[in-house]
Amino acid sequence: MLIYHPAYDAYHCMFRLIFILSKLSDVEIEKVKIIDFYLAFPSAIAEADLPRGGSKIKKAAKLVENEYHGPMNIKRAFHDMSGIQDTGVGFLLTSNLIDIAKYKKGLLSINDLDVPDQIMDRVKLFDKQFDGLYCAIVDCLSNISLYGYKGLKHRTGLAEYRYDTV
Amino acid sequence: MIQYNPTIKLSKLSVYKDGRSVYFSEFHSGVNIIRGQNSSGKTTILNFIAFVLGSENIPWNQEALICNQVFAELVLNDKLVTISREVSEKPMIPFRVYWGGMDSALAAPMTEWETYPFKRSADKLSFTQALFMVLNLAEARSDGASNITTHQILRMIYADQPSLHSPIFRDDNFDTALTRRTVGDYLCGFYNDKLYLSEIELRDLEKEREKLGAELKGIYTVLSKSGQVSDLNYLSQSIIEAEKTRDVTFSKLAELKAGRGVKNTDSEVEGVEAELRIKLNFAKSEFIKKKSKCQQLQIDIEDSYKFIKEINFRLESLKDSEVVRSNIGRLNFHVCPACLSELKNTPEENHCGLCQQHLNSDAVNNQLIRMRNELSIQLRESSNIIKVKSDELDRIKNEIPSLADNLSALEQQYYLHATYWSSQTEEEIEQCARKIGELDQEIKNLHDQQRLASTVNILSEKIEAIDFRISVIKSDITRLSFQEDVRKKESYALITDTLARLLKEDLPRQHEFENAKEVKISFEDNEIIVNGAKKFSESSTVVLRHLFHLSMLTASTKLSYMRFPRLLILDGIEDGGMELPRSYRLQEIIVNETRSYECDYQLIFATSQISPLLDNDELVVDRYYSENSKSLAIL
Repeated sequence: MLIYHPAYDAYHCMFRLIFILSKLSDVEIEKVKIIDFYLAFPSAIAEADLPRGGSKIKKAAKLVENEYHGPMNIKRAFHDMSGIQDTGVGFLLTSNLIDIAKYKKGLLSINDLDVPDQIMDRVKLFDKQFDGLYCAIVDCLSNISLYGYKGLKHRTGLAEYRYDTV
Repeated sequence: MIQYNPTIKLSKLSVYKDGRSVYFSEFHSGVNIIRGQNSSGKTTILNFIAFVLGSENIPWNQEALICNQVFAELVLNDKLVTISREVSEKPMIPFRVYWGGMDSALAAPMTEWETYPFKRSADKLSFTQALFMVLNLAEARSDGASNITTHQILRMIYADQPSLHSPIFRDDNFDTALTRRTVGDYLCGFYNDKLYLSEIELRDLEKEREKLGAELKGIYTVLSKSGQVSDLNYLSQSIIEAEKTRDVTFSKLAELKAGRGVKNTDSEVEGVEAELRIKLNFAKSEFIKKKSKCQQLQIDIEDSYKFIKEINFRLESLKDSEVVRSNIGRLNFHVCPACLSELKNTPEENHCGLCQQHLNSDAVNNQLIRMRNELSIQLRESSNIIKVKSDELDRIKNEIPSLADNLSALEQQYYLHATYWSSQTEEEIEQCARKIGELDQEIKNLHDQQRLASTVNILSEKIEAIDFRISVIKSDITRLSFQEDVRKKESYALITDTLARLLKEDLPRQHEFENAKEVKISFEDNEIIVNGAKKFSESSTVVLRHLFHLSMLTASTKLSYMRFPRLLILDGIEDGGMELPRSYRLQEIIVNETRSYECDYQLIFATSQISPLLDNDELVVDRYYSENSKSLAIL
């Protein structure tokens, strides 16, 4: 029985958010949450409907798969992580690491110069893990728009898309 | 003020062209009067209201069509909802809904609005369904599975000018008597969905019953002709006996094969053979046991490796977490995460920058140390387990080759001995095998008969159950129909009495109105008959029509079960060449009647000649429209 899991650790969530926002800017909060979910549970990407080039990522994720890592249930795990992700975002806001004006409009964007070097060093190591799997996941998902039919919410099945006004 | 559900009220209406508002007005509870000259845009406003609520086939004029969007803030029962629809002549334009007031709706980004289609589909709710849900209205079906939509309901709420000769409903394409009757019944509150469903279920059940009855009859005929038995008990007994005989024969066969059933002349040979057999069995089972233990250990070891991999991964993640924790803690906090306002207080040493509480840094460190320790302990234990199991695996692997050799040696020996075969044994084995085959066939036949017999039983039970359900539904239907009848009589009487009363208040012009005694209303035929007459002068037709709608409204404020949403939109109050005094009188009848209402309602009407008694701020909406100051400020 293990008590620590990075997916439910607010500080590790912050770490992953910093990783994501170091590559993307002006992203919708919900999109970041979805990408973060797949960084915490890469094996879950096998269930998502990805566009061209997605099969490579799925194969790479399969190699990394481990029953002890989880998730037990994809939708449940995403739902449980939501509160922790909110805490992580809140913490980044209060430390002035993300832009407040953009947050009020629903977008996340990092204030580059403020992130401590120690953290950025670990981010670089994270980037190289598993032959750049995390990097590939962020790239692939960021190019899919969030709303509507065949949008990110639809392809991942993690949130309701049918009444979206696009 | 009491509120009966459903109640729909318009509180704000706004029309946009090219991102600019060309019309905005607020509406209040009770009577709202829109006034202006001819052709100044009064009907256009009423059309916009009906359109945003779901009406189709609106005859837009030029000015209306160059506008882009309508926004309406509605109060549905007690909820505030904002609806937006794109102005177009195309049919079935979808609706955009914002669950809140108009001010927040217009400031919110498009992504916070929801889009509902006009038509319902398998995986999406239609606009009507969404609206009905908020209003807590039951869905309604008319035959042929076409449903009541807000468009149909608005045909009785909105009395528009083109439908002057249609006393009850706004004109519509593809209109049927059944639809009209269903809408009328529904709004009067006595369409009962449960009754409708029960009637459908009854029809289906009676069909099913007939089918099953025919099936059963068919089976009985076949059984009697073939002389087969349909007694389940007798069949079960026969099967048991046949199976018993078969088991006995089978064990005899097994014995023969094992070489024990036949009298043996050479007891010495038998002794050696028996010994060999025992050794062989033991060797076989040992071999198999060791092999499966091998597999099990391999699986366990593989699993432990995976576990260790995960533990190491988590230890690394813990490092990332610690780095974030220690660095962020040193930053100053600028902004409150809950309300986004700036934080001005500088915290004291060892106090949290956010909530000012004293920091127990030891607790945090202890927790981290504990987690790290726990993971390390797991790691060490799992590594040990792997080592122990690997050693065992190696040991067993070593034993297996020698076991395999031993086994094959024994097998060879036994083979040599077993070629000493007795022909007598062969014969007896053949006989037993044949008998078993015969018994198998008999058992199969008996099973087939048994299946048929149980089918008969099952059918009879099903029929009994259906008969019971049919009687339950029939009594439900009787009960619900009775309730429906009571409501029908009550609401019908109230509407016709009210209409008769109101007609008498008209100026003495139409003979039948002055002595209105018998009023008959037919939703199906879209007719109103007063004292036996249904054809009146143009102006009287207009009066009759509007007073009918007023009667519906009155009845809905008295009977809580009516589903008429206590909303009325009237146009053309003075149509049909009506005398000015008569038009004034009609308006006054309307306002006086509504003064007696004890519950929440809204009545909107447009007129070019407002009665002087009513031209006050309480009742009117917006300004007086004229040729130079139309309702839509297009330019």
